[in-house]
Amino acid sequence: MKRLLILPLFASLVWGDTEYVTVKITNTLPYAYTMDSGKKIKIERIQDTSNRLTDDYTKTSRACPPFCIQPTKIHPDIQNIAELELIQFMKDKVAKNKGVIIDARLKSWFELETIPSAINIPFPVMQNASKKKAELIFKILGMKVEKDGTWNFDNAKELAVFCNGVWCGQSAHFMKGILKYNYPTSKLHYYRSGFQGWKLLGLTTIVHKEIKK
Amino acid sequence: MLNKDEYNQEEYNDYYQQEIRGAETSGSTEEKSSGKGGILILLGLIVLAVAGYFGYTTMNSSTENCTTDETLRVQKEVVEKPEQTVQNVEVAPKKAVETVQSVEKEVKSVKTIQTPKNDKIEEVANGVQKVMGSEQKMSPEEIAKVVQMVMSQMNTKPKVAQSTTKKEEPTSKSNTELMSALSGTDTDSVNDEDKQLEDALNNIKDTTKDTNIKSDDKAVDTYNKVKISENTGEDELSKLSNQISSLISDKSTEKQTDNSKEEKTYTKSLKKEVVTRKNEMRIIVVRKGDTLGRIAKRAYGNVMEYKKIYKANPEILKRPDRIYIGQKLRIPK
Repeated sequence: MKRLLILPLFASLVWGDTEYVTVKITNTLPYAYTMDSGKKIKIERIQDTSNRLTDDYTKTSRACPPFCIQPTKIHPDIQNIAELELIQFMKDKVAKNKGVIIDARLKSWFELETIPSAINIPFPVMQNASKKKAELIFKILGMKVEKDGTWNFDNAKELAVFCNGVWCGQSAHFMKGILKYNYPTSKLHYYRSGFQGWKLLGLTTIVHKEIKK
Repeated sequence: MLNKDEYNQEEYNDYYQQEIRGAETSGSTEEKSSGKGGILILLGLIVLAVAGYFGYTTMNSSTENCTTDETLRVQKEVVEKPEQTVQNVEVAPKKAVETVQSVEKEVKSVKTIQTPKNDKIEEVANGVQKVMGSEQKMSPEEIAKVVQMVMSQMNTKPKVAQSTTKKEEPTSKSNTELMSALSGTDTDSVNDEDKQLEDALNNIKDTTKDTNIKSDDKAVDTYNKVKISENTGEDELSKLSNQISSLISDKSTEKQTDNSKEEKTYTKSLKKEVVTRKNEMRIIVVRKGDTLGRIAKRAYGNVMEYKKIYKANPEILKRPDRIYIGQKLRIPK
């Protein structure tokens, strides 16, 4: 009898892993994978079709200034991207070590919740960085210093920068700081919808520091 | 009454002999009858014992047969189902080229088919049988072993999906070609990109063991949040992240210039907003004896505020009177 009970259970467990995705990312992309902190992360949307954001990134109004709606283009030469391009960026650039997703928000924001595979460079760091510090950061990002001291950005990583969303200017401040040291605009991408846009679609997020009470 | 003195010895002896014989015969009949009864009882017991033994063995064998049959049936069903799906998929393209929607369904079903699962099922089933065959009663360790085996099999799902059998390749390829033709993209480049991505992901030195991945799976909550407590990775991205973090924390290379008043105000406002955000993210873990009212009393000081918590957790709480220990409830400000 024990066998009768146990075997179908295991069989159903094995059979049950063929999951059906109700809420896909796109028509042909049910989910994607990326890496974060050495762990493989599945990027998918919340599968509960009745789910809605309740008191979680739903605040509509903050004083402007400073929280004003950002212009569509942060810089004429910096390319704007959206969620699908960001996921593609994870596949094409991050996975191949050719690009990095930068969370330009303050560390406290980053720790609460962020986009998978994003690393945190708070905008004040870039904004207030001395040339020496900027050089160190850029070296980590793949820049090379030539013998004559010039900075060679040929192998520098592409950066996809985001902050809280359209009402947040942290990305703009970060870009201002990085452009000051001539990081090539062709290697910069701006995810304007930011974290709020990501959350609104129910996409997977990373929590580094959970708030409990 | 015989008087010994009145009759001769012979007559007496005759009578005596007759009496003795009579006594002997009656005694022997009694003995015989009691012996027969004993034999009958013994026979009865033997018959019962034999019947009991045969009955037991018959029942035992029938149970075993039944279990084996059930096992086979379960395995057969599990094994047969993917084949049926494969057949459906193979037949389906003939009809389904009409609309994009149907093609998409096929692509989806092709993706979900995992023929190598047969091996996986066999492996798990063998494992279960092996463990069960060794002893009638499964020890907790054995159960844990079997569960671990099943869990590990379930966790290898992406790899299984990756190694879809060659048998299905033509179908999936034709579907992909059709899809790409419709969407105007090059199939080979898409496939190559996917392969490259998979390779790249595989090439990344993954120090995360299966157990970590399991724990990650567990860490994903209803709201698609993955909790990561520390960066333990040794891949390039993790190293880069750690390098940046240590560089940021090093204040020596920071520009010693006074920020403008505007910048200071902005940073201050952002920090205030973080507090708001933290309040949005307050989580209470349900403890033994908790009710929504008690939690509301704890969080807001008012029992009637339980509605606020109930409304903030529609995915977890289907009824306000049903909460369970360990549930993580969002507590709005």
